[in-house]
Amino acid sequence: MNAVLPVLLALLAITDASFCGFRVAAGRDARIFKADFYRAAIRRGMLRGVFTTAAVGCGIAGACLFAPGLFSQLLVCARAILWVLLPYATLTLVGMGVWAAAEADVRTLASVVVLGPFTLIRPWVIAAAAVVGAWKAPGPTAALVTIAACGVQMAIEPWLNAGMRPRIPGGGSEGTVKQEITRLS
Amino acid sequence: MPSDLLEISDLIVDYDVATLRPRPVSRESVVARLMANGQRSAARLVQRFPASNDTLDVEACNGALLRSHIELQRLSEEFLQADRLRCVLLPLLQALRDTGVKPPLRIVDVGCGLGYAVRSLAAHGRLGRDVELIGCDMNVSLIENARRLAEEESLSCELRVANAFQLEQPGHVFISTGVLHHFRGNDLSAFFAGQRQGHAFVHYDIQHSVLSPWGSWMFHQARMREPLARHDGVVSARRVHPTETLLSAARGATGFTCASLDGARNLLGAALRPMSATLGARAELWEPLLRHLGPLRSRLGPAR
Repeated sequence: MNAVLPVLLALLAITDASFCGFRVAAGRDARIFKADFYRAAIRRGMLRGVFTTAAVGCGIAGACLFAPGLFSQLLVCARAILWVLLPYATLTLVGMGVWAAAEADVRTLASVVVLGPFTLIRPWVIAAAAVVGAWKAPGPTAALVTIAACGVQMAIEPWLNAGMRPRIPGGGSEGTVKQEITRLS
Repeated sequence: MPSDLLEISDLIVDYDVATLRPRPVSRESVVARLMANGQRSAARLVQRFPASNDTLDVEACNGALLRSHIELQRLSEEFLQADRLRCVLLPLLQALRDTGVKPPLRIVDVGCGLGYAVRSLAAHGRLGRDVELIGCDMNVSLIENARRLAEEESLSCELRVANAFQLEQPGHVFISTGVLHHFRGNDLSAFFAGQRQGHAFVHYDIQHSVLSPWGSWMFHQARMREPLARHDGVVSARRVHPTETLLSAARGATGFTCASLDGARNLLGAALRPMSATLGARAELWEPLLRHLGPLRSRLGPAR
């Protein structure tokens, strides 16, 4: 059980980062065929998720070396955080599954009921997890670590967003359009 | 609150209808109009647009419109708009063939923006070799980009800076997505009157429902980044015409048999289908169309 909770949280963090990768890419490329673009965006999110999760893990491991007993305190926080995150994550994954597999109306329903609103409340869910985790923390250090870890997770999407620009299609037909306008005028 | 909200995208660009050349737009006059209409946040947004000597920078405005349309396409993709359109066009085209309309059958997308619908139909539509897809819009910048996108992916569709109702070869079927609410009163009738030359039309717009403005707000907050898109998306949902208004304008202006498709009868219906269509066809086309509609027929409202 001691190992399961951190691993579960790490998996959730990386999955969330992968979704963030998709989200920051969505609405930035107007091509019809862009599966490769989305795959690359998801990979980018996942890699950053792995990086931040590893960094947070290393930080916690280092802190645990200097503060005996911190790990068991953090497990209490992790359990509390999961009470908030697991239902959210489960519903999101179910929504994704339905969207990927069902027919048009049901897919739309999954978007309207789950995927859209859940995107909107994601920062609030992470914030709520941080508050609940810190509230349940047996000590102030564990509370601080919990809040910091949740803060890092919240920062992933803005980090992925930084420098992202819409993909404006390359040149080609400007001349033709100008000729058309000249002809019209 | 005023009864008729204004969309920023309708105000920041202007064209000479004859030449389609952009005309200068005064930032102060747009801001004043929005303020007079009680839309302070929209006015503040326009105030931030770059301008020289009070004339809005055309490049900046087109850039904002382009980004908004790219983001809007993402919503269309999420709500499978092209698939929904295709499901109606297939039986409609079959009905046209049955009634002996000579090919090529031209589908014209009115106000196509970045041409998502025609490009997507060209990519996945399998509408038939006898079908031509044409997207028309007055915005040069959007059409330039739409053409580049189509060229990049070698899609067989035409994108034109043109009035969709004044093409040399008139369209057989007129389609649009999210365009109808831009027209009010006589303009709405004129919009439909332009389609008398065709044989049928399918115009999708946001579902008229109490849920729509809330849903639109939520999705524009969750999915859009461009402030203009976020503003106009919500205003669009509030400006949507009731089904009755659309049907009576369509029927009155064209004389076609008209019905709504996917019109929500309750809140669940609005959640399942955030977009509904106004479908119209010449009287002689209606029966063959109903025959080919298949399961879609049950989603059709009463014909008028």
